[in-house]
Amino acid sequence: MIGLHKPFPRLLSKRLMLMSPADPDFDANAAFLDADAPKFIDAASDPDSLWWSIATIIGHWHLHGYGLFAVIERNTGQTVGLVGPWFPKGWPEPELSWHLMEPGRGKGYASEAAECVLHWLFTEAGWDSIVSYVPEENHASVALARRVGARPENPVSFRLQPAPNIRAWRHVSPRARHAKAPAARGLLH
Amino acid sequence: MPCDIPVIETRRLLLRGPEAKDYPDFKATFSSYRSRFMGGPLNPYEAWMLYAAEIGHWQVRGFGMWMIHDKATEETYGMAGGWQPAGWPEREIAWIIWPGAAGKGYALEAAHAARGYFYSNLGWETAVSYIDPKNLDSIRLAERLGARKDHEAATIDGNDAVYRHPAPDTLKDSQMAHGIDMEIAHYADPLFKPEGWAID
Repeated sequence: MIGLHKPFPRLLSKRLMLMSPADPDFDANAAFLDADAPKFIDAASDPDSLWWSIATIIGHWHLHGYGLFAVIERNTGQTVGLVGPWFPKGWPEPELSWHLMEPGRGKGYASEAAECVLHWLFTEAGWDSIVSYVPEENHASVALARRVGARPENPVSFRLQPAPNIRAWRHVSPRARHAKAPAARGLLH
Repeated sequence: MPCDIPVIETRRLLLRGPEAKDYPDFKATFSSYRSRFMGGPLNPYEAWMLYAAEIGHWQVRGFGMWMIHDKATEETYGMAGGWQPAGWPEREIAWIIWPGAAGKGYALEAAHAARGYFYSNLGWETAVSYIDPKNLDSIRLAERLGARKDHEAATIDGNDAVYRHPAPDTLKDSQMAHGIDMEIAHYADPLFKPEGWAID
């Protein structure tokens, strides 16, 4: 047997535990796919698309060694979302992506998880910056991007996976921000 | 969920879980016309996402597709194994061989070993293969594996034919199984002489 096991990181914030859905201790079926699993707030109308998303998110961890964390409420063990870096082929650069589930709505979990992941990326993983691609009309995500300190950049278009009205929001590590701000190029404001 | 991918050794092949270093070989085939019966050709984003899903499939379903390697050289020849993404009515035995490795019996050898593993180790009682009716090479392979067209079974979307594999009890120690073993042995060694099998 060769293991898919890797020492996938687990992160803790005040109310949340973040672990890779590729972690052998994580049951992706129970958390996301079983009929009684809670729904994502941004769930697609096609019921099959969630299965493909979960399978690709797990594969992403094995291919890159990082990916979207399952966000787990510490006092209940309930999985409430997926937050983390996402970088499939064709993406201009790694994206900090977030998807909240119904039980996690309205508790500030998305920003708590995003801040936790950003801290891990900028301190443990040594990244200097990451963007979030947010549809302009997704006001909740725009607000979240602002809340965690991201700054708006140019609208972007994806050649391979076209979607309208996407803007890049850049998160910059404190280290890079205090340096010569290389990420400031392309800023609108 | 089980997420250890077993390694299977056959006469000529090593079946291992899909790894990052094998991706270029996968992408070369899935971005080509060769993949036309598997939803391709795919653009680089789609090919990468499918490859990630091939890996995630193991963890979500507890089975999946192996990368087929040459036992001696480690070179990859294609993929074979079990496949049941969302929307698949049943568990499928699936295969794809890179165009340069076709015609050498690798898909037969790998699919036969994968099916044996699912029957013996995971307790599968049945399996199907969903095949595009224009994909004559795969239909021939399904038939060489002893699968027969199942007109009653549900299809994925109506554009595929369902081939039902022989059940474990039908296959075990059967003339059919020995015939498959002999065909594989002949691919490996054209001068191979069978001994003591029911087919003699």
